[in-house]
Amino acid sequence: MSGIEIGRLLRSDTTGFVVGCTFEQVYEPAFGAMVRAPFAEDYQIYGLIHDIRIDDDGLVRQMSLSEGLADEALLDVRGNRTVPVEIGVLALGYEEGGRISHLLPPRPPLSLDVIYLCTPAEVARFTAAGRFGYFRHILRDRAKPVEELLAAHLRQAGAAQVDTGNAGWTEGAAQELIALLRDDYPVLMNVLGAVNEV
Amino acid sequence: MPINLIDIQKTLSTFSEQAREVFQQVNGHLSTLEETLNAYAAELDLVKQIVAQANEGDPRLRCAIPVDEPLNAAIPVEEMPARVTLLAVDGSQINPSRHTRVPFCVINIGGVEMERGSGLTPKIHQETQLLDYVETVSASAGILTEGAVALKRDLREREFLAERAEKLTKPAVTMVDGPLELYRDPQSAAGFEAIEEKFSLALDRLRLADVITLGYVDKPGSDLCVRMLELIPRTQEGSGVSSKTARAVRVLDSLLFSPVLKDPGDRSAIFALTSAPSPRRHQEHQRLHFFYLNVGSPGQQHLARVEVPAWVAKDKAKLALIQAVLLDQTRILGSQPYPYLIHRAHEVALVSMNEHQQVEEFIVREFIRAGIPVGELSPKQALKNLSERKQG
Repeated sequence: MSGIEIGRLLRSDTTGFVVGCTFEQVYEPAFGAMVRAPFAEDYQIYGLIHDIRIDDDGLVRQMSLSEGLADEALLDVRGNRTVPVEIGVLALGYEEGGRISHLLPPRPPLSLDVIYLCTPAEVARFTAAGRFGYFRHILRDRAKPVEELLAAHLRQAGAAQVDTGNAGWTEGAAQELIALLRDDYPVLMNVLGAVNEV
Repeated sequence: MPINLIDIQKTLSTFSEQAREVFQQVNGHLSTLEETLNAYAAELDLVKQIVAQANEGDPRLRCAIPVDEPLNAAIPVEEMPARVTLLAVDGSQINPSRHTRVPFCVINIGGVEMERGSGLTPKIHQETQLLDYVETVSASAGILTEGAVALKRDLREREFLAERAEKLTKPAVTMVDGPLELYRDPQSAAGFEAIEEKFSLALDRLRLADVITLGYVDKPGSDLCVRMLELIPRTQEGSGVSSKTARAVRVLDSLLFSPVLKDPGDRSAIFALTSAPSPRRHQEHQRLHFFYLNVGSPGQQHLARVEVPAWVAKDKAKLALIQAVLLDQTRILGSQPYPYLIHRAHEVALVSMNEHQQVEEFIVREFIRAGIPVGELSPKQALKNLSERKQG
């Protein structure tokens, strides 16, 4: 399998990982997009981008106030300096021996593993497997912008499912979210409000 | 233990009072110097003659000599050319120490090349050199001194520029942080001649490739022009030209030129530097020249000293290019006017403490693999490491 490489793994744990990428690579991944981390020949982890962070440092802060910023200096800061863009990924599940699971991966990816953006076919394959079991991983961490994350994910996954002839997937996903959030009315309303934007 | 701020507090008023007195003396002397600067602004031949006479009496005299521009000239900056190649280099080092398990020395050189006006990403150059063991630890002199390492690093910086000079698209300006000439460590005098010979060759390669080279001195603490002006009143008083009269107060050139270089981009007249008594330093085309440059912004003056060899100093177009390039570079960093490219070269060259330890581990492993005895970390260093770890 191949795909668009977005960077390499900086750190990870069971529930997610952080990918470092260059400024040139940052134009590909988007908030809510799905990624995969091939770990071995028959094992890979799927995740959802929940955060894209660009850190500053003293030089960047100083240059941000400059009126004489040269184009070449801008390219230098973005292309040459070792200030990576950090992409936060939430683990959604994994694939082992050709079988997709929406449980958390048994082992997290390792430092410097290459991380790829999922193709629409890969998104459709992962999200159609099982019965939306991976939603609970997204809903677990309320510190994240869950509503926006779900809306972005449903937009991407719904489009990928339509491409494979599964037009009812988005409705099924919304039904599942209603069931999962039936005891949390405020969050449910926020989620449905965001989903309606899709 | 933290420092005792109460002890400092007790002496603070005396300290401040002493400073006030010095400032008053400086201001008094500065007025005299400014008068002299303006009175003799056009008397270049006379001033040259005065300095030459003083230099005869004191061959080690280090002061400015006027060239061909009025002493109080302020030359405005010209427009940047549409395209110019810039290459800055900086170096850092791991100094050998008898306290580590193995004495070793690393010189790390970082260079950044920018084709200003091209819209291209600058190129990063880096080279790391582990000095030969026999060079690091010699039978006669023991472990290489910090001064000797700094000298080797400075030479390598200049050679780095020279090696790339021919490939640079012209016009091209190369720059180093600090003075252009080599700093001579008294303890490493033995190898100085050979290093100076190589330094001279590197400068020649730059000249033959028609690549401008300069040394950029931020917040200069020199008094070369002040020393030159101080020679004049003594002559007029009929006391003969001497540089050895004790000075009551030291005034910096930057203070002297502060009211002269009013506008951002203004440069002072170009000055030559009296030659040290070394035969090699008399190569006229390499003779050190300098000028002061206001790299500040309106309302926020900041003077830097720019050192160039004679073959650059004699070409007004090259000086104008340097002025424009340095102003352009310092503006990139806004309120901290310092050439962007030199700062980046420093970032590339810098060796962190972590890297220092990694290199040491690397060498120790190789020694163990090869069956070479490895020494112990000194207790002093081991305890320092413990303290650093605790603080970290």
